[in-house]
Amino acid sequence: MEPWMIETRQLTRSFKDTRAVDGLSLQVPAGSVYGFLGPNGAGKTTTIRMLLGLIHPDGGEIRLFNRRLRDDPMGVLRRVGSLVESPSLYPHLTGRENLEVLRRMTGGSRSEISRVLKVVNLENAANRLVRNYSLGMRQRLGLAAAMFGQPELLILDEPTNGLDPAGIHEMRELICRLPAEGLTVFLSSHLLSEVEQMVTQIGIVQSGRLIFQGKPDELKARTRNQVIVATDRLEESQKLLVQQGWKAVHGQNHHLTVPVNGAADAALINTRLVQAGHQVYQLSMEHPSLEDIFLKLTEEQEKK
Amino acid sequence: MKHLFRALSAETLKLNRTLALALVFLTPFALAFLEVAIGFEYGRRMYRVGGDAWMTLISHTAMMWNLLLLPLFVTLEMGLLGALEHNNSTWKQLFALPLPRWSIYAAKQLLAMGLIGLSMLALAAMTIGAGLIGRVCLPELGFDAPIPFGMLLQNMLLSYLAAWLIISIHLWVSLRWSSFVLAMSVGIVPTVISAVTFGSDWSPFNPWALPGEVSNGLFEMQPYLGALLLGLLGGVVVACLGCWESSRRDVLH
Ligand SMILES: Nc1ncnc2c1ncn2[C@@H]1O[C@H](COP(=O)(O)OP(=O)(O)O)[C@@H](O)[C@H]1O
Ligand SMILES: [Mg+2]
Repeated sequence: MEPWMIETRQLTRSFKDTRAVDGLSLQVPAGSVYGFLGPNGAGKTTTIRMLLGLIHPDGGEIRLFNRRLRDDPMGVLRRVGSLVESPSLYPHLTGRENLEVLRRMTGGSRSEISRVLKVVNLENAANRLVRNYSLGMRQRLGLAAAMFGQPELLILDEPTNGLDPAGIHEMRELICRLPAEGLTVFLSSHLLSEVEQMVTQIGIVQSGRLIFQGKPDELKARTRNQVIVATDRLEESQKLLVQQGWKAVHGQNHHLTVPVNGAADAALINTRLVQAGHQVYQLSMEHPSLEDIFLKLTEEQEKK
Repeated sequence: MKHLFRALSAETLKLNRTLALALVFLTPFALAFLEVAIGFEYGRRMYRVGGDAWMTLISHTAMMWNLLLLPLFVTLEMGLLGALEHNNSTWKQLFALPLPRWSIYAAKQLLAMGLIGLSMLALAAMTIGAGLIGRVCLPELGFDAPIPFGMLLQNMLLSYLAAWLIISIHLWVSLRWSSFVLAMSVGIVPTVISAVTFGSDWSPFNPWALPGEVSNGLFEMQPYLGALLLGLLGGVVVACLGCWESSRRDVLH
């Protein structure tokens, strides 16, 4: 059996009549950066709170480091660092004092404070009050707090949420360096594009259910290439192609998107359109981006 | 135990630069200041010729404190301790640390008791200060008599122990629910009621009147043991319930 860092089996949790998490079975391999993705309200935060023992599942099992969380919560949590939604910081304390609070609670050395401050590049702001920190600095201090005490597993809920592009970039660089230090990272986001470059493993949830789990390449492999066509009469072109059995879609932009199996299909589409007297301005073939696949997948589930 | 000391040491650090810490000294100072002002303004009427000036001062201070100021101060102080965590949504961080939740709650409880105890020690010292000002500036009032340390400290200690119940109740309410308004209402309404109904038959069973009941009993030589035990043991019981409840509840914020 693979040594999963996180494994859940049929995890379930409801709030009144909403099923926030519904039979979720996750497997997070050691050393991965696992992107836990889903639109707002999909159940990501609820799952993460359960992984950290903050709320209790209605059913199912949680295993971290191959141990059941409820058998030994202290032993398990000692090896986990977390950042859930907004960072938990005391604004009336300095950055260093915030970490000192953690150090006093968990034990550990003062040099560990300096180490994590250095990792997130906050050494120079360490003695300023957190009240005066920017959002990006707070997020980085939150990450420093999560990394305090050298955990083996980091659980981060929407670590890029609310950051400006520069902040997102900075966060991404920080997180990308972690697996090299032997950490496993489990992070959630509602935007695949924000985490696409750092994840090695993806899990997609929708309405509390897992609808995909695997490597980004496997997700890509599940979808076909598509042809982008622009013509002088888009509506008629679409009608024509649909009549001939193509799944032509007219999106927001001034072009049609048609899923195809290969270059021959693209040529065929071109011929048919030209034969019918349509003027083809543009025709190209591309593979849909992960973000497109992600959006399409979650939309499809929505309709069901 | 190790966990409890760790959590307690972290709690004291969090008090840096807080209003909660400042109030521990400002509240008794305000009362002592008021007593001095009263002494200058109405001293001759209040401190009768030949009466025991120190006892008059101590019992007057004790009544103002125990009946009115202490319940309100406990309300505000506990509310602030709760807001420190709720406002910064730090529960999710604290309760995901490898410490049992009861130890985090118990550290808060000890801190709360410590802060209230400290404020009452400060009040005792400031009451003596107020009397000494009287000794120097208002010699006709009779503050040249020896200071009754025994009575002063006994009164402080007993009314402090009787306040454990409201400390525990308020701490639990303000740690459990994030609403500051709720925390304030739970204190202000009963304090007003207990001030109005003080001395009635059920006053010795009203948690918010217990420190006043005990202090009054001490000065008036009436029985106060029941009120003292209710405050003390009730405080311990509610604190234990708070620890227990904190370790089962869902942390959603
Ligand atoms: N405390 C709560 N009370 C009631 N419903 C909740 C609560 N927390 C979350 N939910 C509901 O559970 C679902 C999942 O929420 P959440 O886990 O926060 O999603 P995500 O983090 O993916 O945006 C949503 O429908 C949300 O409304
Ligand atoms: Mg969320």
